[in-house]
Amino acid sequence: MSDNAPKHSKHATASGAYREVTISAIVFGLVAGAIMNAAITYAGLKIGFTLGGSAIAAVLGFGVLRGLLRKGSILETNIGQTIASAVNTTNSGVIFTVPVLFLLNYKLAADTKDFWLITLACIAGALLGCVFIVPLRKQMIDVDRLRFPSATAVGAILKSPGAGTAKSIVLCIGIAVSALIYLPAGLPAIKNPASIDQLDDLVWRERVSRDDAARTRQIASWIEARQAPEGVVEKGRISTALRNARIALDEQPDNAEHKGRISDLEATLKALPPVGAFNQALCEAAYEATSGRAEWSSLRSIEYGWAAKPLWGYQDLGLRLSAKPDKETGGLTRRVDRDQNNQPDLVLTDSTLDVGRILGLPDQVLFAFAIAPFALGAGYLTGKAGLMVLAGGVLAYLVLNPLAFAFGWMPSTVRADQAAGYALNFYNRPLGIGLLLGGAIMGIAAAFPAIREAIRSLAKAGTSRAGITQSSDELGLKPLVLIAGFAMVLLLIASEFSGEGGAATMTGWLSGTPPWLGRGIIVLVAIVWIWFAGIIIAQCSGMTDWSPISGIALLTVVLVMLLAGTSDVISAVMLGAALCVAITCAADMMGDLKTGYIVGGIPKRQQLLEIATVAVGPVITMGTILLIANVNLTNTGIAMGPGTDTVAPQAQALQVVISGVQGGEMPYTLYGLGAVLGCLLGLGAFAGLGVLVGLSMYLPIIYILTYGVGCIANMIVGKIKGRAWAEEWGVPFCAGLIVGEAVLALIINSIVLLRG
Amino acid sequence: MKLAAFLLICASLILGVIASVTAYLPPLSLGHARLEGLTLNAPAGAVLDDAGKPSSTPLLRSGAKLTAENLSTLGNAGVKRVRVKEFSFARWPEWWLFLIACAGLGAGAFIIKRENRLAVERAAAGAGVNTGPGPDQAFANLCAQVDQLRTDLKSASTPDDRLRLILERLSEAQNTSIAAFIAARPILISRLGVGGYARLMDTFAAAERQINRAWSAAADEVEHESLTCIEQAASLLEATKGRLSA
Repeated sequence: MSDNAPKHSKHATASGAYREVTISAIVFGLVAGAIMNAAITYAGLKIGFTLGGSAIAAVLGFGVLRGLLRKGSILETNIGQTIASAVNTTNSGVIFTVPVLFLLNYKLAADTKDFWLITLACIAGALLGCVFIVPLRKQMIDVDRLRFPSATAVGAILKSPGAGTAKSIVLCIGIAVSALIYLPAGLPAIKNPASIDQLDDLVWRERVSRDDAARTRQIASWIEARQAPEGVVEKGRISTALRNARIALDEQPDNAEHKGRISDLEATLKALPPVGAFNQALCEAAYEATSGRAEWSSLRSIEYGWAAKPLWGYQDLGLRLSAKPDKETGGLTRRVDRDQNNQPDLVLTDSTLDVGRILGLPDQVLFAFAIAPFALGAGYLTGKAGLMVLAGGVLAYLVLNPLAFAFGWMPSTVRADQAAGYALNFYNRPLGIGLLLGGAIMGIAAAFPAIREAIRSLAKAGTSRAGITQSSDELGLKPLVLIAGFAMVLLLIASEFSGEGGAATMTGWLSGTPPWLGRGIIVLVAIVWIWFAGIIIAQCSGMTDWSPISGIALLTVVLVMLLAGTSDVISAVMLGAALCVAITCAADMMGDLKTGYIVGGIPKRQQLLEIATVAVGPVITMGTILLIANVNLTNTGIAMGPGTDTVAPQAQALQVVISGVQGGEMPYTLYGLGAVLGCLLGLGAFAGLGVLVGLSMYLPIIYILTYGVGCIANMIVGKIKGRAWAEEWGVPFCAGLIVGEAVLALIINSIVLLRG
Repeated sequence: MKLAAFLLICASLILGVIASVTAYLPPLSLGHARLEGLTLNAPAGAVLDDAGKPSSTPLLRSGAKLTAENLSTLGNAGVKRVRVKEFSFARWPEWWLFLIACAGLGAGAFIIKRENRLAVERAAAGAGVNTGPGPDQAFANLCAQVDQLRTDLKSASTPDDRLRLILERLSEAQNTSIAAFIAARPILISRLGVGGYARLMDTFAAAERQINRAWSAAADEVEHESLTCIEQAASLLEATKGRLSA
């Protein structure tokens, strides 16, 4: 072979073509996505942890396709991560919504039609999310150049093989720095049962409360005496019998004898005298040990309330406020000791650094930073534009909340240090969501010419033939319309037959319309809302890396309940689930397309593969939820929520909102006023300003401040070393920060789950 | 002027959100008649402890109905406002503040729009300071970089040389000319309008994607793909030139 002959590469196929869409990439994407989906569904239900997965899939893709198979090209790995994240991403939408049905005592099992209809609705949502967002790729990525920090980070990882040794080293340094920063923040999630002689030390370090320590000592005394108090054992006996009766009823749902027994046992349990701070699981375990069916030593379990000793974290550094005794009482003042445990409060916990308290700011001013390298990296990658997010956070937490507290607009029972939490729930979030909606409307209006051009370009996709036609790199409008139509039919079918179906009566705004028509209208409204919400979420994640999925999902459920009536919970949750899945898929697809743009992938291939595989996600998530519910039912007689291993924390938030809507507690006017402000903000410097400010009011300030540090760091580095340098070296380093935390969080949470 | 407009927007936004917060907080001074029958959406007042300080126990819990008796109790306890579930403009004395905030936001937006337009016009006329190369210059630089690369590739003797050349030159183009062209977005929008800019970026972005793909293929040592992408990028840049000068 002459020197001038084209070089044969292992990244080309046997025919010499550049490896992009290959069987290896598709199989890798499906398998990695399915494993991540099931694992993160479980983690989300148990501890509230979710993860988009693109960064993890990119790293795994390198390991598997490039490392093990020794042939994965940059673009092949990109296809692998695109599919993996498409299959994985749906779980965050489903676990936020569907488990609420278990919490509200609806029966959802493989033999109920609602389970399958909800799965169908989620599949429809996934397809709609993808096809609705495709026409906006040109506007958001080509024209508006949204940054998509995580997608940019994934792009930097994928490009690392060709970026040169120095940049690869910078990327690795970023990962190492991220791991070093995050390790002491994440490690304490791993806990072991504490020994009795460690308790005093753990109380001093505020790892264990005095009550928990006292309870642990009591349990230890039972183990030593091999005897528990009579009341505890009796409660355990009744509770065990109740659990067994519930399991029996689950197997024979129509058995009146089981129903009667359950009622009797529930009444007996209620009538028993309280047993203090001992949980039901401990009572049952004590009963089992008393009966000789379990070892007494089995009571030494964190699950039963035995004190836990976490692995080392920042909190163990013991950085505290200096002690200032109260002149009147001689004890510590409330400002120094908020929890009144006679110790000055910690200013550095595992997850936050409270700079406000170090500086002595008033208690109602929350000025704490999250220890989150990903937020730092995302802020740096966003750069100057992210300052608007910081400004919104400052407005909400450093101006609005302290003023509201000072004016006496919060209940007298709210202490100064509780002001930020009160404000977040009562007005920051509703106003923030309103600002987001208004900002998004202005964003769409301002970008309308660009959207129109993008759609025109797509319409030409099937017809343009002359020379190089960039339009043929995109999916055309016809297939998108066909897929959207198919998904809409699926959603309509799911809606028409879910819950009471045709027998349901509309009691909301659609009161008086025939149920089939009412549900049709609701589906149409939901589809328009999905389109709009998809744009909001894609814009938010494009500009900042955060997306208010939970807030938008809550609004969907509220909207459906307003239309159909507050009793039609199944329809509301089903459409909420479809929307959640749709918007997560929309944001994920846009992020993947951005990564594809950075590495030179062909959008059409990514779009086709994402649409073809995205339906797998909801099936896996719903199957996993069903499996977990069945195991819980067998073990505890409760499908999900408190009393089980999977407390579904995010669904509990939705449950509160559903109860709020039913109780008429939603502050609709605040949403509206926020929307007006969001629209007006968008008239000025740039149309998406309302989105950024709204997002920052909606999110906890601790992440906004850390993110702001990243934005400012970008500006300082740009000023000192020049913009090109700040980009060239800052991007791989920040990609490392984002990926390092994601990988470590996944590893730590996997360990937590595996240890039970 | 622009700074003043930003300050106006900030002040108006603060005023707007503060006024909004009071929407569900009618003052007790409105009188019993307008407040009776409303439902509390947060606790109100606080029972005093033995030391005469407010305790954590509220006088009225969330969900309580406001009656004449309740309102008197709250008034006597010094409570000025209560948070209720129901909204009415008649119970929102600060609505005018919200309107002022809206007017301020509108005025600020108008000034910023005008200032931005003037700044872009100045920059387009070459009077801008430190704005970097204009879009035309940045685009010409990019075309020249790609053309030079194509020429130099012909004279490169080995595949390794060609791949190294592609990686180096395209990296440089990405960090300089492409970045500068994208940074000139406001000037291009003022010249072409949003629709015209979108049409321009349709081909430019396609060219940029081909450059990115050529880089990736070179990094993966798939030379023929990289060369093909560079040729396609050159054609697309030619098409973009037509739209830029139109």
